Amino acid sequence: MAEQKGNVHKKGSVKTAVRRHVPFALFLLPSFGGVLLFVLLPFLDVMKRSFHTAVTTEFTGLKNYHVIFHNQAFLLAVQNTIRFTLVCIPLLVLAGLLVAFPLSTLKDAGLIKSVYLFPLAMPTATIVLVWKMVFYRQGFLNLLLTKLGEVTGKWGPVRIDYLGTGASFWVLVASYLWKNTGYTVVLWLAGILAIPNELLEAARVDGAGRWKCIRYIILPNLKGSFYTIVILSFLNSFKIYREAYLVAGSYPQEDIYLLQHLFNNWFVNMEFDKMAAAAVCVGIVLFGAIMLLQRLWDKAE
Amino acid sequence: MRGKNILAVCLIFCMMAGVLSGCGNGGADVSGGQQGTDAAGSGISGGQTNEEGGQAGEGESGNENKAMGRYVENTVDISEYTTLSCGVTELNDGSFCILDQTAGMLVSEDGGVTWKAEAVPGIPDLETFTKDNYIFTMKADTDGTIAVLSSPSLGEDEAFHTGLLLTGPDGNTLTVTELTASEEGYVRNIWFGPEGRLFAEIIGSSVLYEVDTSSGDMHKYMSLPNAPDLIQFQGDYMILLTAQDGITFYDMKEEKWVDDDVLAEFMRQNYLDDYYCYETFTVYMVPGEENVIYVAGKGGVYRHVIGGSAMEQIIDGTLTTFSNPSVSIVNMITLKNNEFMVLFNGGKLVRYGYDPDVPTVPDELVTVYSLREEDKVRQAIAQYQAQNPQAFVRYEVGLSGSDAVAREDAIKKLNTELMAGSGPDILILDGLPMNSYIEKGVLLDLSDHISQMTGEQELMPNIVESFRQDGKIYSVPVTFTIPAALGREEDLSQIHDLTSLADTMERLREDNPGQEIMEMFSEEVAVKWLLPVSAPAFVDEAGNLDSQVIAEYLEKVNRIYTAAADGISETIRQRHENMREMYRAANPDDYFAEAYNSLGNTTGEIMMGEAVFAAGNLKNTYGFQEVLSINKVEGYEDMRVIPLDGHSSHVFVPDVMTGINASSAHPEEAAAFFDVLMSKEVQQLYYDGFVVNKTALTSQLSPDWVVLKNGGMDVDYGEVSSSIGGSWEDGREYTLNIYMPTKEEYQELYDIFCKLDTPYIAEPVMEEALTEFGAQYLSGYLSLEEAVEKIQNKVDLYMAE
Repeated sequence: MAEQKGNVHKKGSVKTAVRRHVPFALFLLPSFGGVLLFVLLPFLDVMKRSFHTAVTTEFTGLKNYHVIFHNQAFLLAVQNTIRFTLVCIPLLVLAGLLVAFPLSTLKDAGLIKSVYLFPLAMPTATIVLVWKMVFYRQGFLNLLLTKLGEVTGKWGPVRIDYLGTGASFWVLVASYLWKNTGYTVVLWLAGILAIPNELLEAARVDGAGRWKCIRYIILPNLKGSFYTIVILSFLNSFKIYREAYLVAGSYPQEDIYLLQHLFNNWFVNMEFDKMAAAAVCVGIVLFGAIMLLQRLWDKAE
Repeated sequence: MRGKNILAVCLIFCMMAGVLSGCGNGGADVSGGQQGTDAAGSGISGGQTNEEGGQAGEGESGNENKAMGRYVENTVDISEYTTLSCGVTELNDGSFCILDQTAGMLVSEDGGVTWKAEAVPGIPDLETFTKDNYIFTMKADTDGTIAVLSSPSLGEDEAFHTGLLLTGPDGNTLTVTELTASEEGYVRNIWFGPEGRLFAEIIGSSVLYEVDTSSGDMHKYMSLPNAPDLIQFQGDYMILLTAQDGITFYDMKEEKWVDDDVLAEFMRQNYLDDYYCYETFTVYMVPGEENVIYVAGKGGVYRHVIGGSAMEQIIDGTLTTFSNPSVSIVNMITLKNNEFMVLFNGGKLVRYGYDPDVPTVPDELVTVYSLREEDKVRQAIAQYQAQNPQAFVRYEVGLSGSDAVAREDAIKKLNTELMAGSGPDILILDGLPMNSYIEKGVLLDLSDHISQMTGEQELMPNIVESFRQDGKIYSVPVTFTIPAALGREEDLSQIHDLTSLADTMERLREDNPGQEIMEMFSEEVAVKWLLPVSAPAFVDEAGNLDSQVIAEYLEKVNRIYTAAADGISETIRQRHENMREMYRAANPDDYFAEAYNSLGNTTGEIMMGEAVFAAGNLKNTYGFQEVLSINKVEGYEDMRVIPLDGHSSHVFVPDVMTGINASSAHPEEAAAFFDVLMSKEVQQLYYDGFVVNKTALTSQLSPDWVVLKNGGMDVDYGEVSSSIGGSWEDGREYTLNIYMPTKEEYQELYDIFCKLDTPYIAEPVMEEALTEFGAQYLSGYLSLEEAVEKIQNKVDLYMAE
């Protein structure tokens, strides 16, 4: 009898669990269907293509992978993309934090936040126009430096082509920081303002100074914001291609030749086999990076 | 809780239904074949054609869901009779007459199938008449009255005027030696109106007169806002065609203008931008049944009720001769049973009749793709469709110019279609990644097909062979041009490569201090200018960029540019600055961007002493005639033209590179279209570029060339064919008689063509790098080494991909 009772209880709990999960599953179904249809299935097709020739679809095994890892353009693009990411993300995270701290002490920072967000609202074409006006050989920056040289008598005319030399990388970095610092500041601010004031007051009562408050109270409480900001910054770093493409075309100065340039050019030249192999590699790396961040995040939580 | 769950499930299903409905094909109701065509307002609906033909039900019986019936062409070639036709008229007795300024009057009693020549009434000997008179126009009224407007050869003190010869159906002739009007100017054109009325337009005054056909007196009828190029009559309406306003209506009874906004907008959108009217028309209108007019042009024929709200397309231009850019309308008339007769230039008389048994949109579909619109392709399409009424050629243009599509975006779209197996059948490869397409197996090997093209179909073998790769030929050009130089024989004899060209330029600079020795207005143009003769050598056999050749090229170009720009006056420098701005602002399709390196455009500068040497592309026979004509001028007898060599020799610049998609769904039709594109019939009509068809090229290099004949030019070897002239801002002027080259001169050019074996195919990335950094080197911003390094880096990246 007891056994029978136990079975009834088990059946009842399973039924309850199913009943509880069905709505979630149904809610997930449309978005998962979309991801399946528009992301996963196409990616499987890309994986298949990475083992075949582009047009004649002959099986080539790992040849495409071998080709891309011996392709100088691919290696350069990977190197530049990694370099750009590694330089930009720490700078952006730090810059956002440095701006957010003083802002958090202000009573009404709404207007200032809006000003910081303004670059996000600027159309890319406008930004590119400004770039050209500022950074070209006959641009404003050189005019300014030349004028400065005339006034101080320290140097002659400055005719640096910032977008045609290694300086282009730093122009790109500056542009990325200028455009993205705003939302990073907003995210940091949200994180800082979410810290309970009681914690900080208690620390101060215990004799903690400003630095100790930051070190032991604020920063540890900002871990959640930190991971969000890193992931968003990482994903946004890929969007800088628009500016790089519009300002310097498909074949920019080699320091700002990114993976997206290569993919674009491969598409134009019908190198779909190489593109598929490279896309699989990049997909795997991105997936790995996001999983790693996720794991770190989970640990922190 | 349960209620919430049910609500949630319902909401999910609603959401899914919404999402999925968005993925459907709803609303896509485009009849097959019409989609993608660029014909203005295309869309011959079944209902409309049924109404026109009235027999669609019969046609549809065996073709479920397929709209049947459309107008088909019936062409009669009367080019052997006519050279300068003034139009065709249907007379009251059912016969047709064509008045021609050289052939006289052609009459057909059998509906336009056969024609016989007769004397123009009132002019027994037309040849003698035209020796003493210039005929402006000849018009026939439906009752057979003939009006001839002409001006006599004048003495030195005589004022220019026009006279009228009016011959009635009864043979009575009225001769008016001078048509006089109160306004200044002379009568430029005449038109017959209803009930035998005759109207005349005075040049320069936009005043319309009515001519008293019994006395020849002129009475002012009305003032017009703009001078009309064509006047037709429909009931009480006078219908006028002007370049400014398009088609307008004047109610002769009410004496007021009638607005027609729909027609005005239609004309603005479709025809007024490229409006042209000089003996032939790009757009024409003709009265139809009551209150209806028909408007004909490149889009076909449209029916419009005057004051109505629609323009109904009844003949699709893309399926007929109307879309052929090499023909224009001389005149058009409506016949019984809603048929039309159109006389095109070149003696092509086409009768359009409705056939209910042919599909509204032809079954066989061939798709042609080019990045930019090519008139040569359009001409071939018109010819192909005329030969194959059951076929429909869809012409897709990647960069239409009317949208903001960039070259790369257009190519990516094309590549996607090719990968999906729905790509075009014929690819015009100019501007496309041809080498990638060959490497990827996109293009069909044409070598067997071309080897079967013999007789009049044979292509220039050396041109064709220059495109052979690994024993296969994937594409051939439709036309080509050659880099050439024009100068004094003494100077040209010194030039055999870029070094000797630079030496010669420096010597010319020393001999002509302060003078412009050749027109080279910017660093960019200087770098681009000689690319055709050297670029084929920039990449070595292993496929690597040869930086040494590039360095040599830039160094020589710099010497030439420095010699050309050194010591020129401020006036010339200012002119160069203006040209530089125009060049930078020019769209790649603009005349200026195309013409800057045309050798044929340089004779004016040489004649005016603005240049002593010129180099550029010899683009067509007109250019050849022009540059050869200089040495007939006193003081220029030693001017010569030679092909130019650089790091490569025997170079030509191919145009309209054509290939067939290896995955074409219509391989036979694609091959047939390729044959038409390369045929003598089509190629002999091309005037821009030298053609690849051997027979057509031979014809092109002779006074018998069809294009000349169609233009009414009948001159022999070595005779003056026309003259050109120009004036400078400072008032200086020049005129140059253009001579038909002699047989020997044409033969020399043909011999040069037979030696061509190196095509120059522009590589956009390489050209862009060379132009950008080469110009910076010429400007002094970069050293030669820096420029070459930057070019190398950029091109290496491109090649590494």
